[in-house]
Amino acid sequence: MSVVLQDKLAPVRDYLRKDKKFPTVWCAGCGAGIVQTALLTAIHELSIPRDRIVFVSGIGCTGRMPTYVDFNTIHVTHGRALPSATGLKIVNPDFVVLTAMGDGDAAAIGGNHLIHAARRNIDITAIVVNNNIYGMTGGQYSPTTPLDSLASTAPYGCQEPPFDLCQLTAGAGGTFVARTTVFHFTMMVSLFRKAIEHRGFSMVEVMSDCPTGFGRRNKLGSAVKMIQHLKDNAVRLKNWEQMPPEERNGKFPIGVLVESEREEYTARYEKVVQGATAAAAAGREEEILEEVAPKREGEELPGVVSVRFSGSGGQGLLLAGVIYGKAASIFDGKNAVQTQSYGPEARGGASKSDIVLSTSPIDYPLAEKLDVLLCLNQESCDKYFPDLKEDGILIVDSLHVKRIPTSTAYVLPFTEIAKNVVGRVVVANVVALGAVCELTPYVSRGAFEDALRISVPKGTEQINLHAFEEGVRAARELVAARASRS
Amino acid sequence: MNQRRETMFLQGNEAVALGALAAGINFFAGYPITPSTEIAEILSEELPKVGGKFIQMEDEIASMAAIVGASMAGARAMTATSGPGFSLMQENIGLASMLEAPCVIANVQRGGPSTGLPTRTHSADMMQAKWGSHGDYPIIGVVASSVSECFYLIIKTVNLSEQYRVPAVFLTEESIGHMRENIEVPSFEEVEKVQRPATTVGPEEYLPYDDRFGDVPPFVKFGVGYRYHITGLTHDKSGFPTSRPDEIEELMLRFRRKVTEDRPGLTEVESYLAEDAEVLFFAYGSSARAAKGTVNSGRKKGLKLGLLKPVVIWPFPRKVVAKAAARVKHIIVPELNLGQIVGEVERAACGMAAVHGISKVSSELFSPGELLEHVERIVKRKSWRAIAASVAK
Repeated sequence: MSVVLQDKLAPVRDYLRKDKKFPTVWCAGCGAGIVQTALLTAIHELSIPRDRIVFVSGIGCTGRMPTYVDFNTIHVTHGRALPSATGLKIVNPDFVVLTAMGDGDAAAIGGNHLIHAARRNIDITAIVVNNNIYGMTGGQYSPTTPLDSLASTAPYGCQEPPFDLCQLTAGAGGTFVARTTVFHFTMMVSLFRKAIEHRGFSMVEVMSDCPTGFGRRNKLGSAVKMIQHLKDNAVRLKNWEQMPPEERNGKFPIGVLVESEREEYTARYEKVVQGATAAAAAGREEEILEEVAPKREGEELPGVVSVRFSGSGGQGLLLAGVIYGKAASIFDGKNAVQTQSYGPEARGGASKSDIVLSTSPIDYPLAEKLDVLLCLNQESCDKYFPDLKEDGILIVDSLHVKRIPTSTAYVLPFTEIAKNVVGRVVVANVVALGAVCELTPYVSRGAFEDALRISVPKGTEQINLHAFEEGVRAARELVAARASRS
Repeated sequence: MNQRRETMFLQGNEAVALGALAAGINFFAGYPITPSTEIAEILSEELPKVGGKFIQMEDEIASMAAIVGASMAGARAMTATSGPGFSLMQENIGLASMLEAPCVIANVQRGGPSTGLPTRTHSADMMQAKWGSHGDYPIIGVVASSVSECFYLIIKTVNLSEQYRVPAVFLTEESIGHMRENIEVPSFEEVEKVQRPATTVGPEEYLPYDDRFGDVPPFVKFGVGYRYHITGLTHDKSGFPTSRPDEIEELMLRFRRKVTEDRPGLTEVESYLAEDAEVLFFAYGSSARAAKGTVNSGRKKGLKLGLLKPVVIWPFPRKVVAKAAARVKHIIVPELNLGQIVGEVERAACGMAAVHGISKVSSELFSPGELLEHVERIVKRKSWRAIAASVAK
């Protein structure tokens, strides 16, 4: 009998690492070795080249399994086998990625990763060896320890109900979920084969025994007795489904519990890559045809110039600031820094977008005393006027700003021009930008127009340039009117 | 893929993403967190265009684990995060160090502790970048102070990580991540992409942690015929766990030798008017910008100010600081935290110069004017030696 068995295992033995690795860390009677043998048998039967197999594990007795087998093997941190495996699989979808985890590794510290790997349906095979206990650390209770069982951290019996890992994985969207026990070796090999061949996330829970950490404390007898116990309580799915609920107590179904098809994650993502690569290649050809706008040599600035666009969130001040910055730097050859309010502040009534300009490099990026302040609402005018230099330029919207703190302010109907002349109230920011261009000497008009073209959504260039033009015109008329009055 | 040199007007976070692409990053795993999210958003769109991969993981622990896995599959891998996420990543940053899996973690620092200030700036993860994971582990830290540096230094960070097979932390701040500035972006073809050292031996002879070729073991990715084992456990040259004291010590000492300031590229300190300075700023990040402004305005007033701006902060440039300390009277270390790098400067200065830490934790930046006031107060203050002398009289 024993001779026959040895012959059967000869090919499997060939997958073991030859030197230095034995004996294993597993205690006599532990089920982990049976699982390892079943796994190697399945791989051998499937004739998967060893170089394609990446075997990942976390921490625990089961986590040591990759140490002993001749594949690409990686033993990571506790609970993190699946996310590490995810990185490996995504980079090289040709890998056959396996993970081995214990119940603590998979269900407690790595529980979240199990859920999300199942949800993604990434093609990884997760083998969970469930022996109801933390073995390596000496028998503490795990999320699968039965209620009232003893553990080194449950001296009064475990007070938490265990959960069903198969149901969890199925609930998270796992497309292949199976359970067996270390007693059912042939079934285990068959389930491992199916799991590995399954295109998508697969999880096989193997009910195992821990004679040292669990059996001894709970007086369950020898390893043989514990495995006998697993055998007695395992019910094939077909029979389980016909079993009356009152007989199910303490028993569990084994076999393939879920097998369904859903597009695998890396296959899906590969399509994204192919689509994006093709579109980018087409786009590049187009881009080469585009002319690069010539850089204007703008006039030298008197030093550091600070400009603030302010108003309420949603008035397009951020965009106005960015266009100003692009005009000054990309098209006028100056240095520019743009900063803005963020978070709740940006959504409030005094949101701001600041630009600092200089011919030389800018050390301090924030606007201190302002040369130009644009206010599109009252709150921002009240709040930021004190930051304006004595000879600074204040520009306000006549509709939204009624209390104007200085008689030198330029008061212009940006909102009304946008609404009535341009026909779109949302471009009030660009009308204001036109006025800023006309009323301040720092950035050239051509630069503004170029910056507008590359910054606004495609198809809206004309309406924005129109808005800008109207802003310039309104400001020019205001200046002319003032000149004729004085 | 940028094909020509051009001027752009970008946010710091946009520049990090662009720099990552230029550096040949082809795998990103991350989790959304303010103020770093733009990096993930941009790479989610751009990586597939160049055949790269992006994934949003279930948390930062998983993100870090995924980039370690990706790195072992041969990818140039990175993630980006901020304080709370950086804390979660520490576990697997240690793993990356132990496995010697090159990878980059961009940390756009925000106010802390805990949830702190998601949209405001601090620079208080400087020590966490070095010591955040447990154990003595090798790591590289690079710190940026402008949008332009976000681009050029993320490239440097990726290259150093690959060259030395260590995780490398790229540190910016909310203020830099969200600020827009003009930047000259080169054609990506001009950008140097350093590769991790490749093995020259065959599978039979290959050991994943072979030290015969130097302190950085030659790498070969999974899946190409070299089947080997790697583990977060302390291991020998073959990658298998060891508990032999001699092997343990050998590994730990090699880790230390791998990342020292004497290694090429691992000391980079920019010097501005430091040669004849009597008062020297040692400033990094946004504070270095303010300090440079202060040096300029102070020089106009006749104060002999200078600036040392570390680009590589870990390993700490002790020798550069020690040399400077020997010739200046004061070293001022302005920091947007309660005093982190100042301790390192003090250790390196060995009492040769008076070291003054200046902290600002209101979530605002230092201004040059404010720093100048500090300088004036410090230089006016009597030295302890002068006080001691007057007492002795």
